[in-house]
Amino acid sequence: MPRRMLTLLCALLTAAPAGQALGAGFAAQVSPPRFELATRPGGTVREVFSIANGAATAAKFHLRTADFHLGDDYGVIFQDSLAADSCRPWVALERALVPLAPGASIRYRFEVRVPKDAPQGECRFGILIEGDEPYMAQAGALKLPISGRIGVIVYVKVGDAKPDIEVFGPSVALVNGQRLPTVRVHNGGDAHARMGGFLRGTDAKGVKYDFVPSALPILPGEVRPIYLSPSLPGNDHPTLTFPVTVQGKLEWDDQSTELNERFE
Amino acid sequence: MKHAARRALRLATWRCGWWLLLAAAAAPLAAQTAATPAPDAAPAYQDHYIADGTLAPDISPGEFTSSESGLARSLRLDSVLSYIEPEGANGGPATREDGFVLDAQWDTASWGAFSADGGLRVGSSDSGLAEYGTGSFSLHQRGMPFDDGWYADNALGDINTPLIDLARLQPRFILAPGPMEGLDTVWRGPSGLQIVAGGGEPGIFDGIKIPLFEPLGGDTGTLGAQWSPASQWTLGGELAAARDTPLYFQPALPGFPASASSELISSTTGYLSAAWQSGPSRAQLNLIDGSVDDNGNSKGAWLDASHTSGAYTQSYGAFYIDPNLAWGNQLMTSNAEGGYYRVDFQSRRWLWDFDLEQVDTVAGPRADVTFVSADSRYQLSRDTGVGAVVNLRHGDGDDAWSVQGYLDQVNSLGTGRGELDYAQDAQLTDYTATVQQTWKVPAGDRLATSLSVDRLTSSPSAMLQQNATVARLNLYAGGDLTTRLSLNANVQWAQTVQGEAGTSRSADISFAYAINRSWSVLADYYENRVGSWTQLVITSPLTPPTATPVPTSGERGVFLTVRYQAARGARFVPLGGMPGSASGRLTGVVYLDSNENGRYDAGEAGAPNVTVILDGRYSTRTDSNGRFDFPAVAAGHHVLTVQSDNLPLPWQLTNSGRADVEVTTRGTTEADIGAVRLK
Repeated sequence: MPRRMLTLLCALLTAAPAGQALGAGFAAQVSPPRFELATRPGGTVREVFSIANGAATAAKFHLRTADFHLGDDYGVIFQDSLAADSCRPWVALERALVPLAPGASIRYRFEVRVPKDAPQGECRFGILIEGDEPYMAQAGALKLPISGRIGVIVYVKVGDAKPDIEVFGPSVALVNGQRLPTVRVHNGGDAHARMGGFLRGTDAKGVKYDFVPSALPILPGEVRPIYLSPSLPGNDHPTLTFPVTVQGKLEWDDQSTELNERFE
Repeated sequence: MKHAARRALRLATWRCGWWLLLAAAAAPLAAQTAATPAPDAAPAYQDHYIADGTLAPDISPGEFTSSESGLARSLRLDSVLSYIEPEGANGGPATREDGFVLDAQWDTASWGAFSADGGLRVGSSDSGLAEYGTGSFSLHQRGMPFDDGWYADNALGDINTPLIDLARLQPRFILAPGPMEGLDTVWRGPSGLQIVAGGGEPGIFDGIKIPLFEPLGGDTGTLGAQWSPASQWTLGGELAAARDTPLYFQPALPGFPASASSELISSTTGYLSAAWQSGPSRAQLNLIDGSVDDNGNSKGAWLDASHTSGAYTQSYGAFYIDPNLAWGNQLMTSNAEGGYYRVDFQSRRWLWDFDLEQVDTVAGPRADVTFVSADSRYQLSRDTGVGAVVNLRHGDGDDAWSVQGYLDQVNSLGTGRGELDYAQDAQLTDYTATVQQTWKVPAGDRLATSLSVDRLTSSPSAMLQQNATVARLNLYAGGDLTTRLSLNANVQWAQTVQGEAGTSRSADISFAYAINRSWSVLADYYENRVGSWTQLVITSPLTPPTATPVPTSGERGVFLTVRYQAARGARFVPLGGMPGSASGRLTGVVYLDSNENGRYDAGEAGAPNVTVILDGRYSTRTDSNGRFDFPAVAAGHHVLTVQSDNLPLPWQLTNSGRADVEVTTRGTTEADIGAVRLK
């Protein structure tokens, strides 16, 4: 079986926009795709997301929790078995099976009951929505049984959990064929962080840019690169001439740090 | 056979892993779509369930779209029962607005797309006077193709007079198309050629839930054309005439009805325009010549130019317009000469603009007015921004100024704003403190509130006593309470806590309950009561400050609507899509963005009865809350165009009423389009 065709098929199947999965037997739309919640030890948070069946036929969806971690390139990797630090025993779902008529939707409920003696930290888990049966995906003459699945990501801060970010290591990284100023950050805290802020800089030709830090999640204990993408009015993808100097504030949560670095 | 399938699945799993990682990296913040679980040798975990899994499911009855094939067509028919009673000093007997509202769209393979809108009012008022047959109807055909790249848009019924694009896309002075009962046609061809023609009886749009058209008598007509002789140039002209019909006045304030003069006029006006555009630079020269009744010939000319360089956009212009000009039966800016300069700066952190304008009268008493406006906003951090606005109006005995400062902050409950306003003219002083909050609510729901205290003080020489302190509470809320029951509410309430100004109330609260895929019931409470005060606003050299004491009056009522809606073929041929393409819902609101923050806040009014066009082909009208809805639109990029025809003056759409939207498959895309005060 030509692997190139399989690869192409997989590319097509995973090219669907986030939050939905397409196919003759699995056409679910889930909203919202992510929750960022907070509570105290002993507290309970209750939330709702919607699942819509976009297929022309009735569908059954199976729901269950899963632990997850992020791969080197931020890909989400789910784990069915209970992770060592999992908070899934605190989680209760509405039901395991949801049958939906064509075009129908359900407001699906879940809750997180944090024990009174729970330590400060962050509870993270995914809720997986899967089709009833594998469906036959077709690419050209090739048909393959594929299981559709959507994962809703949930973060719950417990107590005063917060990220503790250390910024270091200015470097230049090649991202999608473009050289970008990059810093590395270490999250020594007990909650995830997303970087933001307003940065200004100048390249070797003297052109002034705004720089936008990548806002991907940095989980506690992780070290991740933060790419600083240049932006000009009317041009979101200008090409930099190195060396480049960047100044400004990197922000996360309710904290920030000054950045004043030269990249070459 | 089973073995082969399992082997194929394993192979697919292995091969898909890379692509899943790439897809997850491209959208790591969103839900992850996976075709395979990660390797997992440990036993699976057994989940807990709320109430042991016995909760009753909250499931919707499904979309109203059926799965039939064929070209897209949809129908919505409302049957409306109502009871409306007047309030205040001008009160009369209670009235009814019972009847039917129609909204239908259907696509054809070679005749373009058709849209039909209408309202039919039946029944009688409590006064016993029969009011049969009052209503409105319009039929639009858009994008009818012809050979050699020609397309035609045709319309009949209660519509607006057509304008060439050069006349419609004006940055400073507006040629307003007028409502009429008649016919129009717009042809578009190669080289930017456009021909427009239309004529009929002028009238006024009215009605709360049922769109009504009241003819004014007389005739109006227009004929125009434009084309692009070179890539950078567009030339055009149009002629408008009206005979024996009253002058039409746009609503002075949101919530006020349009009106017409008691005297009949006749007018003939010609318009010529030449536009040049090269990259970020644009200039347009406009000439106008006409007469109203037998008052002699009047002329006008105005030049607008703009240039964008990096983060800066500079706009400037000069104008001279004789008195006594009208466009059909529509009033237009006249008896003015002067010039303006405006500069805008926009970066990720800074937004500011500065506007300087000088206006004088051409004839009659001199009214030399200088207007200066400065507006800036600075983003202090990711979550906090501050801004200030200053307006100065200096004229003969009509000096006025205002200043506003605000702080926007993303907080744990949503997005908040604190705002202080001060305004002063020759007769009034107005202090206002406002706190706004757009609340964090579940996806698909909306909740915004604002609370303000307004202190108005009049000078001893003022003719109208308006010393008062007014507390205002505004609420905008909407969303699905359950999968069958939804709420949409826009409430504005102002109570005098000191002084004698009248209470002001405005409410439009609507509950909708879906019985099944096709039928639903809507219950609305409507109230519009204008108090004997309005906030002092200084926005333009052409418009005097708008503190306009008016008698307390208004009306309130309840509406019960039974709605039938159906769509066929939409799943396979959605609006703007090809057979088999995916679709989603596109909905939103056209609103009057009073604080110009680009967000629909509590206290801001929706713009009713405004035409919204999808991809230049499919149209619908906003309801009494300013909301519009395209139930089945092809997933992908689309362009919404809002026609400013029925916007109250002095409101103007930003970006020429154009909004680019991305519709997601099976998702609901919300596109709110704001209008700002014309400066």
